[in-house]
Amino acid sequence: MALDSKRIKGPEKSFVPLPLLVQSTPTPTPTSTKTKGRIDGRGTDEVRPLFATTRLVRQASGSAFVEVGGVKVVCAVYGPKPVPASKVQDHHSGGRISCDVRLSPFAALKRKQFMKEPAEHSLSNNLHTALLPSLLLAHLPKSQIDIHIQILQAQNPTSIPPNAFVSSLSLLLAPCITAASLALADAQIEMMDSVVGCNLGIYRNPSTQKLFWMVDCTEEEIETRSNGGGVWVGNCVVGVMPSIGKVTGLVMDGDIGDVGFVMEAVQVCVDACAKIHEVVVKKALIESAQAKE
Amino acid sequence: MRSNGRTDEHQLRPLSASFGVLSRADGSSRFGFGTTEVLASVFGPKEVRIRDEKIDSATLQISVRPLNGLSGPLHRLAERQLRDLIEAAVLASIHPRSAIQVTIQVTGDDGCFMSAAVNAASLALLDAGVAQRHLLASVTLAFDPNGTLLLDPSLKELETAKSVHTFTFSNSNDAVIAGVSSEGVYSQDEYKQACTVAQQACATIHSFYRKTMEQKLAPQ
Amino acid sequence: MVNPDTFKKLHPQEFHRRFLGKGVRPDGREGLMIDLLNLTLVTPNRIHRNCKRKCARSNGWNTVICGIKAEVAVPDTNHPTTGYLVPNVDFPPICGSQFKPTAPGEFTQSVSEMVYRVVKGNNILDLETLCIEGGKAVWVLYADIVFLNYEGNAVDAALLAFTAALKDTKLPVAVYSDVEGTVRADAADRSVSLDVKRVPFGATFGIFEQDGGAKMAMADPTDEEEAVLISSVTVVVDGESQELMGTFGAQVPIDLMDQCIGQAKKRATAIKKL
Repeated sequence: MALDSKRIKGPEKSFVPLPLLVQSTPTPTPTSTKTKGRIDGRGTDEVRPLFATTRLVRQASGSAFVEVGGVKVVCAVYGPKPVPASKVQDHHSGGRISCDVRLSPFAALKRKQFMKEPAEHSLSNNLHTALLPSLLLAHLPKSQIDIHIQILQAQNPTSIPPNAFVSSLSLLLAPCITAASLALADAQIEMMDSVVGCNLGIYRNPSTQKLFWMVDCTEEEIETRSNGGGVWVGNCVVGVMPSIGKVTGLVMDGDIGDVGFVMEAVQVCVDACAKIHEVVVKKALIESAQAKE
Repeated sequence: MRSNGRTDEHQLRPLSASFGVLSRADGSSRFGFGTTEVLASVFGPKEVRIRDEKIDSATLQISVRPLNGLSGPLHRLAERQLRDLIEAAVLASIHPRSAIQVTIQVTGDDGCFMSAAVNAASLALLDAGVAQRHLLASVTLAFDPNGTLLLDPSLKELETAKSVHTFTFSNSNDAVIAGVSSEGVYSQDEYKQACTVAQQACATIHSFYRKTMEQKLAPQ
Repeated sequence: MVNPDTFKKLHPQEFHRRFLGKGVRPDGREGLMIDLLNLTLVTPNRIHRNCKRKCARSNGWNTVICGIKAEVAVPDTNHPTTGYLVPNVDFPPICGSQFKPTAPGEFTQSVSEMVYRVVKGNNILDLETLCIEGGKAVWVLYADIVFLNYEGNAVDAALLAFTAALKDTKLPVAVYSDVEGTVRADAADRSVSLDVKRVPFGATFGIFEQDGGAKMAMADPTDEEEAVLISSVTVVVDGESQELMGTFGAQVPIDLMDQCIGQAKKRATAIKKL
């Protein structure tokens, strides 16, 4: 533990207890042996149920809460507010946004120290990228919008082996994008369209070497590294403005190496985002607007 | 018989106080309960950072430094409590747009450092000639496991204490608790008892202040 | 005629004084010592459930989440059978524009310290019960109290969230293995609840001066009201035994302090029923 004199100190080191040794060893049937279908029985293009609401943080100009699977995200938007005169660099360009994503100490299985982790910086940066195209910042010169995200829970407690902490970028980025955009709308900030995020896992069939995809992967599906008879090779997260069908952000990793397939995967994500937008986000937006009246 | 040679539960350790112990500060003092000793320095009214500037009063900057190691939440709370106390005592509005800086350095800790810090700060402000409404005197009390009230406990006595109370009173109005901070588990009656004893002990400290000041001024 | 909002921004002190002079609060609450409970304890249907933890949402518009994580550590050599309880309060920038994304400042640290002073030692929980194997392994309970929306009166809200979370915490049965030197537990097991001895409730009162110079107290000040108070006092009462567990305050007349303690006790009883 790094020394943090600004907090109440606990013991120097602490650990998550190891899982029990399995006494009677009925060869644990790893889910990978299933040849067909996904672990939770969804179709390949089916997204998990998503819950979204607004107006959770009263102090903020706008806020949103998004929950999907085990991931729970609160976002608050403060602003637009004036940038201090000393920081205005030129008077012609538009406003700017700052994104700050934080994991709560209790968000993951192992308690997180208060120091920021690299994953949080990377989430902030990717979120920034994905939101920027949707905003009309030229209309807000010399001002700044602060977008703060607090991740309350980063993984589903029951589904994951305790020794694993997914480099949760792909799992967390999508709900962060959705929440941030909802909060911006709740703050009544002008934008082209709300941005919806969706992730997609890419798998390779070990016998035929063919790639295939699964929309909205859970941490379990990524962690077990196998799904529907395939081996996990990569991830893709897309931010989309569904009403105008434009992609605002794309993060992709893994050993994919097939441009045609990438195009297909992105298209699948765009379709999934359109579905999320139609069913959930619109409803939350309407509720937010009604509450304002 | 108490751990450090005292015979009575309501007995303070020998008090010590001196003024002007630092040559560069505008005011300084050292205050001690026995081996618990605290050094306080005051600079000001002096220039204030624009960020902290108040247009209608002086800004109080308080910092508390521990005897050893890094300062932590304990010291931030001590600073906040000291600020509450000093803000009420100092006539900050006669020095607008300036800063008054009070630094507390613990130089010996055998329990009750917070009380010593309040007393030292009050004396250092007096030494610096900062206008004050009143002087502050603070004492700490503890209930031992048998429910006996001990005045000015040592570290050893604090270790086993059931509850610990720090009271501050001013010399202008002893019907008002200038500051209180209690921890542990205690009843309302115990609290009242502690408050009454503290009131008397603070009066003793106030007369000790007077005596020390008279001694300082006498030869001149 | 000045619009009330403008008046409030220009002369906050006067704005609040006029309300208080008439015994009314700007947010419509009546009375000053009359206790007002606007409290929702939300059992987390959709807010939280990881490991051994739980959330609570508390007074007025403050939204606080307390997550308790249990981990295993080597005990202190001087106290080989004593577990740890580590409370920390955090005000992330999400909870109000006055909080910046930097290291915790004096305010955050002092609130943490106040909560710690109330719950430390064996006050709340017999820490011996957190022992897994004497001298080898004990539970550490990290109680992280995170504010999502802050509107004044931090200590009360933080304590409330903490208490609710602690009462809800359930630990798995842990097994210490001498051979491996490790502790094993079934992650899904939730069979041991904590033996919570006391339930601390905080009651904060703002102290303000009336026109005549008489000092008055008002319960549960909001952050706007806090700005115009001369000081405040927090009384922590154990909801079980009605014993006091801490007082923090300044500039309180002795008789007013007694009133505050009385009110705090009433309030603890009222909250306990919820």
